[in-house]
Amino acid sequence: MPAKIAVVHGPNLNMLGMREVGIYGGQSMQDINDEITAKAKQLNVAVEFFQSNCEGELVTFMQQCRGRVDGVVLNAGAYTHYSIALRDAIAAAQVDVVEVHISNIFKREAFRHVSVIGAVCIGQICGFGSLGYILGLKSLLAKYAEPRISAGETP
Amino acid sequence: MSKTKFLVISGTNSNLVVGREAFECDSWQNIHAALDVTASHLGIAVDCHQFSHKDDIVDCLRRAPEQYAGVVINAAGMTDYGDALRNAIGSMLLPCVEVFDSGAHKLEDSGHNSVIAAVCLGVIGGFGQQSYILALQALVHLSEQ
Repeated sequence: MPAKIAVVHGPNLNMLGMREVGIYGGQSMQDINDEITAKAKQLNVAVEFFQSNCEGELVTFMQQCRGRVDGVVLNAGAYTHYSIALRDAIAAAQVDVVEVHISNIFKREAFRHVSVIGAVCIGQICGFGSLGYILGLKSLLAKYAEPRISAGETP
Repeated sequence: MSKTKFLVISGTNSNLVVGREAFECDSWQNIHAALDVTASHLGIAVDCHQFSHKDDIVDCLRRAPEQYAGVVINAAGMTDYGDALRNAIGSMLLPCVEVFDSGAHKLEDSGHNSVIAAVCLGVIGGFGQQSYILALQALVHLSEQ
């Protein structure tokens, strides 16, 4: 059975392509989801998408991932930096979560350098735009497949 | 036609990684061997180095633009205070990806206290050997665009 991965977009990511394109790029969230869907098909993995601007809805979704999906690629947006509730939900979900950011958060304001969710995620990927989600997907698949990541292809 | 070449640098103490309990990761020899395999599949060339002295890394980075299309670096023990490293990366005008094996993003209060992250294109960490492989794949992908 193919692995099932949830791709979760947090606050303001529904505005991708329309806001601060110098930082976040011109692609819409749908463009990114389409790219992920195409890659997932190639990699034989089932993906589902979720976006919410509400902390509580993200918490509920994370809880519902428990026992239901094999991994989560999560761009928690600004909640990354202060949502202890989301952090606790990730821990409670007992599922592998990869933290992804479109921009390199370390090039930006100091308040973006700290991730409160990092400690409960298996890893962090930032600065690669939409490619970061694909890298996140591949890092999760590495846990299920041998060889751990197919060496012979670019993302 | 010669292959596009990428540089991989493993920093201080990454030569001692085996047995360090906090790090669930491979030895740099294993990582470099895996990168050789990845490189050959990707049709590119990769030079992997392990250095224990910051000056050696800085020298290597200074010469990098002559030969390489991008750099993957795990500065390891120098991540927190390597200002010379930061300057070397910041001035070399090559895409550079910082990787860490595991651990750094899990530090509750301090976060990822890297002085080089801000001058890198991006950061990939937490996946052990796969952090390096993903970084190389990302650089190759971006260089082809």
